Amino acid sequence: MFTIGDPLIILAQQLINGLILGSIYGLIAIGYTMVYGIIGMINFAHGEIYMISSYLFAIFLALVGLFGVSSVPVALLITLVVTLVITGLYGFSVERIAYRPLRGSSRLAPLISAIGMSLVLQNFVLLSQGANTQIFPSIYEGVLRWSMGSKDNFVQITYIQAMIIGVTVVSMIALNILINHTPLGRACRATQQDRTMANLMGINTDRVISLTFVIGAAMAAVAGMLITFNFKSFDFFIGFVAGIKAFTAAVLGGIGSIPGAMLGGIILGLAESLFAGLVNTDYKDVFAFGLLVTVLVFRPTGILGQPEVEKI
Amino acid sequence: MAPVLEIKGLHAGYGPIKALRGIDLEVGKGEIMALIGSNGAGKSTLLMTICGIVKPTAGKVFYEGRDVTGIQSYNIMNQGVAQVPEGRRIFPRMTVLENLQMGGAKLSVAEFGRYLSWVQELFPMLSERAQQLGGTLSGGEQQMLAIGRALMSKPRLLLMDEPSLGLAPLISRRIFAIIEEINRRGTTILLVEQNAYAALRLANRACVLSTGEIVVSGDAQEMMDNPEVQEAYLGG
Ligand SMILES: Nc1ncnc2c1ncn2[C@@H]1O[C@H](COP(=O)(O)OP(=O)(O)OP(=O)(O)O)[C@@H](O)[C@H]1O
Ligand SMILES: [Mg+2]
Repeated sequence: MFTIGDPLIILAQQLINGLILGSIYGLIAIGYTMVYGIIGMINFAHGEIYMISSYLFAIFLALVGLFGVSSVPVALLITLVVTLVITGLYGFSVERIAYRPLRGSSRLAPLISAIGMSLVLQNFVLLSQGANTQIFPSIYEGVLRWSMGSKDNFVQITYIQAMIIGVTVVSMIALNILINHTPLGRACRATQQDRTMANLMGINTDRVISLTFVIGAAMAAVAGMLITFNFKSFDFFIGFVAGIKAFTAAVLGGIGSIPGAMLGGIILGLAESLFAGLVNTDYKDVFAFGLLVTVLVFRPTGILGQPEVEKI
Repeated sequence: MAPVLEIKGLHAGYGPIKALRGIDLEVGKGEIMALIGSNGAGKSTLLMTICGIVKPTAGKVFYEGRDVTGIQSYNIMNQGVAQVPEGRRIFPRMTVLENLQMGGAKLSVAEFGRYLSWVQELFPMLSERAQQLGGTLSGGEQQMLAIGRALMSKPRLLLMDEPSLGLAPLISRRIFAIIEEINRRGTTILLVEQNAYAALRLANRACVLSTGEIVVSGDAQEMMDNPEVQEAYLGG
């Protein structure tokens, strides 16, 4: 029924790949969109979180192994927690060092200081870890396959890819509960909608802003760890490209909107994969950015971004 | 006993603009103090300075005897101060209920329930529209929500900035009745009003602010009979 190289098979496979790529973009995009929502600025040091989480993940996994933890799930769990804490701290410091002291100055100033911080971090990693591509060990190998017709025709997903989708879904649900159904999340939304009024309601808005950077960093770190698992190689420069793509996803979905960031990520991931699989690999980035431009022409606030509809 | 609010020689402004030039003011426990004055006199600035949003350049603010000058706004508000600000400032993309929850964030579950039913009793609209987004309420409804939200924090000192602005006369009268009711329950109120007549009728004491200074102050009844005040603020 199906033949090798059947476009339908390629399509199905690329849909799966796109979903995985999109999950990663979406997770990183959340950091951009949350920070933008609350302080109205882009965190240009955000992409690096993805990079350092790869390094931290590899380094601490090795260290935990050296200290004699032989159970893989336990080692992963410890590494996950340590990585989240350190990247969270990085997110916190970015706000403290690059953004807070420059509040009230021109909008350009914090962007420059944030880019400065990300360059410092990149070069620190370059000097301390070297420019070589690092290799991550293979854990949890294995694939799930669905054959279509004959045994040479199949669509597959690795365990790790399945895990990426699973972890993304769980993270999104957790974030959604936090933002929409807890007092802390209400405080975040209040700060986003009217910071002075949030202050007047007794909210320490500085702490809320810090928290936003930390949550964004944690989501990006989750993405970084997942992708390290998947590709098993990384270098000091991966944060840049991933950052730009995720930023594109955030704008595509409507910057400021959390569901928008996730949707933008998925759409971008799918578009890229489908274009690469069905048309041409070299121009997939051109296609992705072209898509962004097209959407912005028709919906300047992005897919789910809402123009301000406030009645004064 | 220390007054609930005591302001001494307060100066504040925005860069080169001096909006307050040496304000002295005392509000005693259980009082309603009316603050009247023309546009740009500095009334809203005074409320924002009391709450720590605008930072004073000189002078002191004492709340319940404690010096709260220059401390972080959220710290002051968590000590039992609430403001119904100019322009209502409802959280537009939160539901009515969520706006009220913002006010009552520091209450225990049981207390929250009690205060919520009281506020919903004062403004039945707030329970009928619990799930409507704040930004889609009408102006008058937003004003009720802003008052309800402030009440949810169980304030001992309530600062109200022109609560009757833009309301139909009937609603406006209802708001004044409710202010009286809130005060009867023990909340001290500093009320900024354009409608000087209504404010003076409600208040125990009043003062007139003009270009950042208090020019007249005293018993509300006396103020109503003061020819200067009558001419300038009560329409002669
Ligand atoms: N954010 C600001 N930046 C600069 N100047 C301001 C700001 N807010 C108020 N002012 C100025 O400070 C002065 C006092 O303003 P304020 O809002 O306190 O007046 P008001 O008495 O509340 O007036 P209204 O009755 O119109 O509300 C005005 O001259 C105003 O232009
Ligand atoms: Mg005013």
